[in-house]
Amino acid sequence: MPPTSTITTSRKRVFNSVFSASPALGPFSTTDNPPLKSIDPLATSRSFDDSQLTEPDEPGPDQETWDRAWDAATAFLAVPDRGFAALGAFEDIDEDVFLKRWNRHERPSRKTADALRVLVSQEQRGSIIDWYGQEIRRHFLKNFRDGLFDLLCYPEKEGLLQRIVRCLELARRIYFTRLAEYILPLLDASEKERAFLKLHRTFHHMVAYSSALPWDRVSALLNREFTKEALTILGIDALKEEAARGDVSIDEDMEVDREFSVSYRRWREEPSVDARMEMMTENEDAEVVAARDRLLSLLNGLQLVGLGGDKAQKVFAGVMNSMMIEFVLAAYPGQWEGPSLVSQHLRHWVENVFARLVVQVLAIINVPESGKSSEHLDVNLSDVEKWYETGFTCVGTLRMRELFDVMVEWPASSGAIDDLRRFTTNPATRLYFTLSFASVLCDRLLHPGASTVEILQLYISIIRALNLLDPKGVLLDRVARPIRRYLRDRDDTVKVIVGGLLADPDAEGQPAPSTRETLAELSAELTKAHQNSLQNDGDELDWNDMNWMPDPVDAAPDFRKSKTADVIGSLISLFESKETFVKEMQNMLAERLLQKRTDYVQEMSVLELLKLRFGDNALQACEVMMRDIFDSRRVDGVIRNDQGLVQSTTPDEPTEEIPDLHAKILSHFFWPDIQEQAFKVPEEITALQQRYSTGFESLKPSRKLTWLNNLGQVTVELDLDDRVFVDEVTTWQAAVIYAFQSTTPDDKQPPVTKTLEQLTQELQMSPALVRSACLFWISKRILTEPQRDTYRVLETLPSGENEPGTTAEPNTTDDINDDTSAAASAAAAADAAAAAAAKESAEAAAMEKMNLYWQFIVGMLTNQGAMPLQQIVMMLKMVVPGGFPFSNEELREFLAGMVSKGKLEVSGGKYKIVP
Amino acid sequence: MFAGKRLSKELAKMQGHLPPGITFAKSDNLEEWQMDIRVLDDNPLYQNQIYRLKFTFSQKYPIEPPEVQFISLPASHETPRPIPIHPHIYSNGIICLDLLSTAGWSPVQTVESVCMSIQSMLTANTRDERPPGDSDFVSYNKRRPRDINFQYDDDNV
Amino acid sequence: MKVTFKEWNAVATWRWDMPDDDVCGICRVQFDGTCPTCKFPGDDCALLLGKCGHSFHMHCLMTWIQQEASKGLCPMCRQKFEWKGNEEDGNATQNTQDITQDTTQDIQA
Repeated sequence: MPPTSTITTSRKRVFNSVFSASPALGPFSTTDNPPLKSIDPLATSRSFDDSQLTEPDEPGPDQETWDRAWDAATAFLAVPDRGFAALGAFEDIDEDVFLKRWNRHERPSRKTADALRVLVSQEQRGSIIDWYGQEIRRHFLKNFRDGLFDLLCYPEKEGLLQRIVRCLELARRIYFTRLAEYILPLLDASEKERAFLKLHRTFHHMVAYSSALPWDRVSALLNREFTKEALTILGIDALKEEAARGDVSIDEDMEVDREFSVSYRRWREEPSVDARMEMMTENEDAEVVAARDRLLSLLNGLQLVGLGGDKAQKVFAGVMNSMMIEFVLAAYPGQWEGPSLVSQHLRHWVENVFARLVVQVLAIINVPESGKSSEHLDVNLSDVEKWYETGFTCVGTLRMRELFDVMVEWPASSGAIDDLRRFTTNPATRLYFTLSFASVLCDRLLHPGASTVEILQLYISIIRALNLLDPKGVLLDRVARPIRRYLRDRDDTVKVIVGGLLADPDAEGQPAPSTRETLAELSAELTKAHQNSLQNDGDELDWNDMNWMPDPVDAAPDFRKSKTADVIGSLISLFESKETFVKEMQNMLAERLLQKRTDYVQEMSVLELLKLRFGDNALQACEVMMRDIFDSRRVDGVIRNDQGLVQSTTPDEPTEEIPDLHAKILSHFFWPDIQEQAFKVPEEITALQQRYSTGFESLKPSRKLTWLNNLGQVTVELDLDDRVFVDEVTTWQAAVIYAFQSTTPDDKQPPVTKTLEQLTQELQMSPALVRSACLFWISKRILTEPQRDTYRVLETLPSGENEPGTTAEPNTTDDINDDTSAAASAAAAADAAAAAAAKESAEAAAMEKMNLYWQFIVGMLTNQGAMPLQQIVMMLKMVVPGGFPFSNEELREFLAGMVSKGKLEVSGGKYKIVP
Repeated sequence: MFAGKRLSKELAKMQGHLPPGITFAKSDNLEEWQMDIRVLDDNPLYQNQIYRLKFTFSQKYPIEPPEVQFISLPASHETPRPIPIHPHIYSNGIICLDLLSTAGWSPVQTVESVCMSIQSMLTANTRDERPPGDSDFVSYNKRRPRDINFQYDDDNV
Repeated sequence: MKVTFKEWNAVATWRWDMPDDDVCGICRVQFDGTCPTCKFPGDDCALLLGKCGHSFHMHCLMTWIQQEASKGLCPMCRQKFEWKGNEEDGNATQNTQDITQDTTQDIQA
């Protein structure tokens, strides 16, 4: 047989053995070993060319021997087509049995061994190895490809990736056993490696590029596994559990809890630095160790079967990136205590936990294909630094999102500001900061549902917090603008501010006249501000300030630090002119100075401090008011003395007892307009007032007095049949009860009874005021109202049953009618009841009136959509016949009530009907 | 202090109400104000014409009189203001009026009352002439108006 | 029932015995206010009532009278300014120039 024909035959044999039963080849695209190249007549195949070229020069074993050897070897090496089912059954079968089943276990016969040796020893040996490569490929495509593909159709299956990896490992085992056992030993070292790598690569390409395992599906699986194990290994799972268990149980669990923890709170609470270090590095618990082992062994498998490498690294990088976010979101929300240790804790975690996992993983999947582990480190310091920076950016974003609540919690949340300070260091983050915070403020604070006190309170916190965050004040300047604009539109802003300034630091004493809470901390702030130097108020640069820094680049053109420097200054500068402020101060001061108090220390200090700020001139009126009160005391003494109004001090001289008349004399020009509600005071008092006026006019010539009878306080003593009542009341209450005095004190006459009309006539007092006074006296159990608008003195407290008609004392019960203390407690109860009743009825009346307009409002909001308060007010003023009689503030309260009833909702400062 | 408070009061009052023919032109500060006046009758000398008065106040106003004179704005100006012709008004705007001199001044005068006096001084005038020696005075006078020793010998105007 | 007032704390306002809302012709501030140099009304910033019927804040009139140009005349009516309550001294100018804050009480008495 001519050699050429032999070659042709052998070549045909090779073709046949490889391609005879070959199914469609699928998308093989490898450049290394294109399966179709032999079909292309122009392509060259090393093995065949070799044999062609070397044949004439180097005669090998004769053709027949070669043919026989080839047949024997290929028969021995060929992998039986047992299908995927046989592979998939690995779980149940012992490995030996398994390999036997795949015909991989029996040793070659002598003849076959010789044949192998012959084939391998030849220069053409490449061809048998090539053939085996083709055989593997053929076999894989025919037997395993579809099975693997089918596995991927159920991606949610637990442990799927592991199963796939295991299958591939076994397939590899099947393919490589005979190679490793019978062919490689026949080769010298370099040939051995070349041959092994060749087939190794063939296998990897098959796995990677056959359509059996599309990467997008595998990567999803890989992502899932990575994520699952990383959550445990990085301690994130434990953090979430901890959070889920809640704060309460934490302390109890401490003893039995795992020692390994990445919890920021526990780390923070641990005083010892060493113990902190150990917390994350030592004593990993079994769960973490197991997860780590699982992950690493999975990765080993992946890498072995060709699913590791670059593509797996990409998946891993993606997972670790989201782990960073997960960790930050699990570890730091709500952890705002100052000073913040978040940055140290994060660095510690990145270096010891995060980086450790990365190193371990990359050690497996970052191996170059040559199989040799390279000398260079997979992770270097700059990587760690980058991760840390990424993590801290997450912290910054988290804090940004939490900022509103951080402000609400201020100053307990100063740690969060520490964190943000490292975040707001460049113009981009600063811009993000101001924009996002401003929009949160609009949504959550600057709407009609928030009270002015709340808004101011938060504004104060923002001022303080942002002064720490950015001492230059640029961020504050930007954030504060919308708040300030909004506050200027609120009717009661000035009132709240001034009320806060004047609030008594010790809130004891008298309860605030309005039930609304006051911004009392302003008064504390005022005192504090006074202690700090006020010289920074100037606009001039301090040329001696060696620490001077230019304003940041994002400062607004009209930015001025001094404006926003301190809380009081910020609030006062809300209003363009100080007059608004001073006027309100005047009103509040008037109210307080006219109360009966012994000293006005708080008022004095507020006034002094405001003078420093506004200058003496602006506060002249307030100063005059204060001075009036102090002067009045002195003048009062002089006049009472001159006019013989002072009670005789000698008790044995029984002079006629006269009331002690005292007066506060005001310089009316400097006081706010005082509403006058004229009425006739008892003649006895008028007479005394006349004497007092005479005294004043002789002391201060060319001046005259005008009495403001609705102002002042009176101590009355009421002598009833069964009791004596003493209390301090208003002048009009005193005047009303005086009208019920018995004309003949000794006679046993029926209790004095008067109607509302009679009283109105007699006292020349408005019916409303009369009624109000009567209600007061009913609550004190001095008067009763036997029928509507008729009042009668309650000379003796009822015993036993409730007096019919004493509507204001529903709590009078049988067991409290014996002694005076019982009566007193009944009076107290009645007092409370009456007050509640009065308040209720007032509120009900207001609601009733407001309800008239509710229909207008509903109609408007239905027809025209959501509207802000201002617009509603404007519309009401236009559509309500006779005008809308309520203030913005009253309407705001009414609408807030409707919001709480679920009839309205507020969003973005606009009210809308709840559908 | 004194001048400031007093002028603030006057300003506040004038923003509420001013007599006919007198309007507020300009007050950039509390040292110099400008007022526009016109006569109310149909005196042909001044008909359909508006004149601009400049008030300059010292720190001691109203104890000391303000300096008051007419100023002119050219015809090309959007609000042209000539100097009114009058035997007691020099062509440079200086007014020879007793109540504006140190001797004739009283602190109860106000910007408003001064304007009214000048308004009536124009209303009553019938002579289409400048004071004698007007061109010499305009060329050589360097004194402040209130220190010039005018002779108030002509009671007709 | 017998009603006894143990103590009555009243409130009153004072004003100069002048027509309401009358202003001082010099400073244009209400008499019940203060002249531009004073902080407190009343005792500190007294009025001078002229015989001619015109009144001024004392400090305002003083500043005027001290001007040589005033010639001691009332700014309103250009009569010699003499204040009520000091009849025996005809030379008002002389006296107004003597007035100081310390003697306010005496003048008014």
